[in-house]
Amino acid sequence: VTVDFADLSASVAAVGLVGSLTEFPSEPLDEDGWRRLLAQSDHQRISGLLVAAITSGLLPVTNEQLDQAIERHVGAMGVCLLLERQLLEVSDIFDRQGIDHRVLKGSAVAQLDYSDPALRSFADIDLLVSSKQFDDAVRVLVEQGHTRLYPEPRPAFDRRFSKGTSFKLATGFELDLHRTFVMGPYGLMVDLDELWSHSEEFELGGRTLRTLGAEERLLHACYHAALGDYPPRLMPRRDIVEMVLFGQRDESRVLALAANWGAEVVVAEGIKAAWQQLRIADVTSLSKWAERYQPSQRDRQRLKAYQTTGHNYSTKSLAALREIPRWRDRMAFTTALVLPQQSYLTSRHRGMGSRLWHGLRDVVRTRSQT
Amino acid sequence: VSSPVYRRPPSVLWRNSADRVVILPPRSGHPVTIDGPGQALWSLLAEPQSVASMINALAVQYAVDQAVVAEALDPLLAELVELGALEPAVDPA
Repeated sequence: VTVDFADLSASVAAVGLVGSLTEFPSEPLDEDGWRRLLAQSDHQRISGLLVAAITSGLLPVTNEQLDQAIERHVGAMGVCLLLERQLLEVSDIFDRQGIDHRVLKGSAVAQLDYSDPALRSFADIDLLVSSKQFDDAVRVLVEQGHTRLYPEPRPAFDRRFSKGTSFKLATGFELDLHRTFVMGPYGLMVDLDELWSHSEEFELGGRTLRTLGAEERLLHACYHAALGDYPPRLMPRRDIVEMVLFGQRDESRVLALAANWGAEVVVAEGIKAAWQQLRIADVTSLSKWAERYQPSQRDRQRLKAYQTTGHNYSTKSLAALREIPRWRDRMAFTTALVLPQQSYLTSRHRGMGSRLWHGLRDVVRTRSQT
Repeated sequence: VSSPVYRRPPSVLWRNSADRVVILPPRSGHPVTIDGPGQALWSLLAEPQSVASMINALAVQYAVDQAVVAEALDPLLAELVELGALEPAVDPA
């Protein structure tokens, strides 16, 4: 059996979507092929969809392969449950300290946007806090014994300019504390007041947590899919299809928010790529809009900062600089990155020479790819 | 004599996986997995259930004697209660 594993992974990621035209092999994969599919399933975090593909009869497997797929999924679900317990603990501490927060991605999307949360795996915790409470949230997490992975370049940089920061929790899991969706130009262009204006609740472990509103969650899924990992993972693309096809959303509000945040291209690229990769035949007004959307030259330039492999911190920072409107803020941003405090240098790079070389190499690599 | 009633505490986190249920009980540091009839039991406990009603439902579902179900059910219920995955409840009837 000749198998294209990129196609097969997309077929697994599209399981349960009636309008998907994806296909499966007609007989079980050999040992090597199965091992590759399991590795892809782990990497793409689609173990629940793999089990669903098997149990629904779409993907033929041996009994041993079925057991292995379930074992992987059980392991992934165990991690999700431990993360949810940790999420509840952090959320409880934030509540007691008066820090307003929203759960992003992971548990919120699994609980609200999927018919069965077991279909949506995740590997960390993402929380959004406001710029004005960002430093307080960092302080509370550090006081609880969690380790901030990277110091900020200069005091107040994170709450003014960054996407957020990451923590290694005492349990070993990672928590991403967000101020906005992504780093770089598109993160700075999000209207954060508007982002906080709508929210939705979900129940978890006997408690009520808050997440973004339905329209904002779809936008975030598009940011995640179009501007997150490169090459993009399948799970955020499945999130988009799940939300567009089955969710209750005001599509005109989705497009209005996208326009206000200069992110129409992000939404269009996210939806278009999801529709193409998961081979969705259904046509909705949003998928039709995404298909027809023509990005501007400036859109293309901004997107390039995100579409490179590896770490592209410098490229995104350079692109972000162009989107900071006030001269004074641009100076503060540049100063923080060119002359950061010593703790930042020690943490991220060996020294000034190394840092400048690192940044230069990033920019050169990006330009040579364009 | 009324049959004891159990329920899932709201704080229990869990997920389904094929014929298994992965549960993270409040008093456990790690998830536990129950399968087969255990999953059917967990599904029944979406609402508070008396032991008698659980035995009856599982005996019908698996086409076995109630005595066989009762023998297997007792230790499983005891373990789940000890872990905090189940707790005594008031009879919904």
